This record gives sequence, C-alpha cells and structure tokens, in this order.
Amino acid sequence: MSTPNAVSQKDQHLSPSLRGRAVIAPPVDIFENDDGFLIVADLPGVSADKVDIRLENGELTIHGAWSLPEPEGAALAGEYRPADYKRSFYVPDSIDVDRIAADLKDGVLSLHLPRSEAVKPRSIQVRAG
Amino acid sequence: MLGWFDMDTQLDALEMFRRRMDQLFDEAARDPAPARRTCGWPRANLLDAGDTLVLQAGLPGVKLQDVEIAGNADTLSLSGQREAIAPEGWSAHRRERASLRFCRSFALPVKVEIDKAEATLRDGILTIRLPKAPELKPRAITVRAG
Repeated sequence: MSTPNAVSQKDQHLSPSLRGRAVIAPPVDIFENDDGFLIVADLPGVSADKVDIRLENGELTIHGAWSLPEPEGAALAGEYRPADYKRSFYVPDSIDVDRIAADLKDGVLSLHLPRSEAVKPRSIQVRAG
Repeated sequence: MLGWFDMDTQLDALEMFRRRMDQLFDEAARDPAPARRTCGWPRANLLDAGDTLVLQAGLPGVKLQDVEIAGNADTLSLSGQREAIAPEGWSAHRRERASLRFCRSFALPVKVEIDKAEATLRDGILTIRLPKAPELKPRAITVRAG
C-alpha cells in the first residue's frame, strides 16, 4: 500500500524545520572492491544511538542527529551551528542488506555494504536442443 | 503516471526546497560575526558562558593524542592532523574528506586562566572551557554609612 510510505516521506521532509536545526550533507568518501562498498562520512557531534541508516527502494539514507548538549552562553564568534546530517545514495541491488555493518568512532561513520553471494558471476550452460 | 500520493511527494519536495532556502537566508542574517568569519579548519565557535569562555571545534576523525592545544592569557592555538587514508585494497569512487594538518590560533577577547582550562573530545567535537581571569569577575562593593 502506498499510503504509509507517502506519509513517512512527508515526515522526513518536515523534520528539519520542526527541530529548528540546519540539516547538512556531510562530506563522504566512497570506496569499492570485489566484496562491496565502503562509505565513510564525517558526522561530528553525533553519537552512535542517534544514527539512523535505512535502505529503501535501492536508496540508502544516512541520518545523524546532533546529540551533544546545545552550547550554552552568548556567541562571540560562530562558524558553525549544531546540525543534523542527511545524505542519500543510490546503491546497486546486489547489496546484501542483512550484512550491512556500521561503525561510528570519533564522529566518523564507516558503513560497509557487502555484495550478496547470489549476484557473483556464474556461467550458464546452453544445451543444444 | 503520477498517482495522488506521488503528486503530493513532488509538491512536498518543492516545499522542502523553499524551507531550506528560507533557512539559509535566515542563518546568514543571524550570523553573530560575519566580518570575522574565516574558512579555516577546524571550524570553531567561541561562546561567552559567564565565568568561562567556551571554544567548540568540529574535529571528526581526530584522536585526542593527535591534537595539541596551547595558549596563554589571551590566545589559544589548536594544531594536529587528521588522516583520511584509503583503506588497503579498495579503490576510491569519491573523495570529499581530506587528510590534513591543521594549525589555528584564536585571539581571545578577554584574559583567561590557561592553567585551569579543560578540554574534552567527544563524538568528534572538541570543547575547551577557559575560566576567565579572576580580576574580570564582578565583585560586590559594600557601601558603608559615613
């Protein structure tokens, strides 16, 4: 059914303004080898329990919410403000969803997306008939 | 063909764009010190929290032992390095995170007691608390009846 899906997407779009915090796209590195992909993203200010990673219809979305206390006091000079992070990627269907692994350390998220065994190349026998 | 909900999603995307643009202009207008904006790394905020100055800097991927904090009564400097090395056996598709050495000095607006400064590094955010010099703290003055 399409209704719940449409509603959840709407909520996602509304969330930035409701929280009153900027949502920024974090810088990422993307690596690939025969086993799969590795995505590395800078998410300063986000703790592991505030990271939400979803894979829906081939679109992988990383969501990170600022989880340190809001800074107290009057700003004398400001170059950034506490932000939430969001970035999406289209990933190939060959990713093994159950084996996706994520690790967050020192504000850097590492996301490993292994390829599924089923899509490894196979030879097909052609029978003369 | 667009169904009703698809149409709704499209309009929603426009609405989201409008809201983000609003937010952008809003932030530019609220910037506390646009003239002093620099584009050094790390980006930092300086806050006045009454008895202390608080400096916060975003240092994702930097370990505590890789950052050096030095200072005196009215300056503070941060230096160190951040490594974003491609893991062995992987080819890069996209590189947006840089390996870098950084060194930044901050001129503090008031004198601080650098010996009592405390620094914490949590989730890639460095927070340094600098107590203001005691002579700056307000004192009560008693008035004697003469």
